[in-house]
Amino acid sequence: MPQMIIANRLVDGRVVFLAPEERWDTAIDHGSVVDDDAEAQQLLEVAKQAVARCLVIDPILIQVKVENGKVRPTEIREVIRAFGPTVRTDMEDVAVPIVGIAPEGDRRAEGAARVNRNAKE
Amino acid sequence: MYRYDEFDAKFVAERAAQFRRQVKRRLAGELTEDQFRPLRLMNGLYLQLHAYMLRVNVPYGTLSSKQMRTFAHVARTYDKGFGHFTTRQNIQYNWIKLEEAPDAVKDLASSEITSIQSSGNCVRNITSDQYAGCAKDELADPRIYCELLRQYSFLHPEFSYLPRKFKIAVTGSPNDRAAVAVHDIGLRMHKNEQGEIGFEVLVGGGLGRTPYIGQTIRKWLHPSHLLTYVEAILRVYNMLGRRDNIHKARIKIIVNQMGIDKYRELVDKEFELTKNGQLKVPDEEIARIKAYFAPPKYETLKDIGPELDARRKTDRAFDRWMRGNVVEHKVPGYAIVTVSLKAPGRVPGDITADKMDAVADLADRYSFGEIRVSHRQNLVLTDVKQGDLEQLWRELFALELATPNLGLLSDIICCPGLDYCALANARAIPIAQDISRAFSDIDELQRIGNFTINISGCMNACGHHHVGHIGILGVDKRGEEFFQLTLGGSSDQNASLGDRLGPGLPQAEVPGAIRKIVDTYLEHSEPGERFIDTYRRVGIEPFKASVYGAETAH
Repeated sequence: MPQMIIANRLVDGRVVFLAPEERWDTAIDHGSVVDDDAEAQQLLEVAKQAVARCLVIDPILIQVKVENGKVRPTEIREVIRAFGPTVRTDMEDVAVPIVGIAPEGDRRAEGAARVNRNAKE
Repeated sequence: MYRYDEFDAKFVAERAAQFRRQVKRRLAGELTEDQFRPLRLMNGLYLQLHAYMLRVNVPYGTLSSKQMRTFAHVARTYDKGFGHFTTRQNIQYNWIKLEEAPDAVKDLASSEITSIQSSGNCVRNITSDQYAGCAKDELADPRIYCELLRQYSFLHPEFSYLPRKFKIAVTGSPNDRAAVAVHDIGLRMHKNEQGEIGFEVLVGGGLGRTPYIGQTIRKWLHPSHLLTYVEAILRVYNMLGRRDNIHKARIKIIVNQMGIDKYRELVDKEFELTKNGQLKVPDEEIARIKAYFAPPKYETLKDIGPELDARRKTDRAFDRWMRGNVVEHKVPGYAIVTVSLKAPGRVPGDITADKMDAVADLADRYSFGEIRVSHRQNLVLTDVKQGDLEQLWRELFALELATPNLGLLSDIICCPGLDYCALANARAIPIAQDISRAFSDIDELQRIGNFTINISGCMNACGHHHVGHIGILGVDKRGEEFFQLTLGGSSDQNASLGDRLGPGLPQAEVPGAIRKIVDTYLEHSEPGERFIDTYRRVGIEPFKASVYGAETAH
């Protein structure tokens, strides 16, 4: 099973992946993916040195799949670490409008009613 | 509310400066992570899945509009523009950078806010009733005693390295809105036979991996003995707590293993030695703290119920909000308003910096500049003139903070879960969003009535799933997320732990299962009977049958 190193960057805690030339990259697709355990242990040694140099914390090996050049961890926890929360992080408007709670004359009331009509159809 | 004196302000500023030096040494490589971790945790800074998380105390859930604006400033400057109010009346920031954390801590300190003791094996933020000081059913303001305990336990050298964390909650009302029975120590104010107000003391409650309802260790405690008695409980725990096993280190394990009578005996022995010592609280000290919680300058007003009723008859939307989110105040002419952070589809407890500022402005204009945080992850404006309710409602609606669902099925408690938390096994927020979207018809919710759904992404139970009428626990089953339902939990004055309904369900099946539970309740309930009461009367079987089918029910 292909493996790679995931860690948190010390300075800001962001998730990073060990990439070629001992770089740490926030993009999983830039990370080094290796196929055998001996190579994986070598990556872990490099990562431990980066811990000693105060670049990253808690590096671990994770299993990944590579499809069409895209890397994806096999465990959901690491998928979420790699790609971020599955819920919005910037509070864009995703709330469901509700019928019957808007003050009269509030334009959102009309929007809610319209959404609800469409839903019923 | 409590204001820092010169000593408090200087001390907290010094601690912020000390934290800055610690971070600098860590970044320079002078401290290893093992050396640094306990130092950052003492300042409430965790490392989560995507970044550092800063947990900031809101003592007993009370904050000023100025402090709320500081929360907004921190969200905007050091985070991604939002914050998350938690079940411990705290706020958490999810995207803090280590290099900027000292600035955030310093800015918070300038508004008399700290993150000290929001983590670690010490006495954590002392929580209380979000309506404290204003509730009609209250005997006395519990915050006076929360503040007394806060000052006592803040950086107490004997109790800074307890076997495990320690949570205390206080209620001044017989109707418990502070979930005191599921805390390490729960304090319930009540009157003794002579009519004096004191505390029933509960000990050994808690959720997590091994949930327990707290047991009464003392039926009535005179307020002057609050510190000596709490100290006796803490001292016995500190000596006997299981430091060898983190899963058995909470006080609830000791109390339940040795039995409440034996624990009481040990505490009483300790208490006898110290109860008339220097920690006995003089009346003057209680009066000194009480002065900080003096009621605001209420106007002399009359209740305007008939006027409001007439308005509600002509405007159903206003009526829904009044019925949903407004409760009686102890002072005539005023009302308590819950600001819902539970719009369907939103993340329970999350609020943007802009909305924090807006709520601070509303607090200044309508509620003496004070805001409360509830352990159910809503905000509260406690002192609103009844005559201002309609205008406040309009303004809250424009901010999407007027969902009239307090205590209803979509007023969901939810921990950050696997979307943020390093301890979680499964996501919690998407489940809350699915359920709240599926139950967004307010008239239906109000017909269903009082219903709590509490969701945790792991057995640590930050989402209080054991005490939800419906509890939902996310588990990892061979790499996939499943959700176990419990029924019949409650954290009020009749606290109970939920019973497991059956095997875990995949996420997609959870809203449907909730629908079946609701339908079964409506089928079996008697007129006016709440879900929890129906459940206690009919038991789990009908619900099992409806969710899993008749065959698996037995």
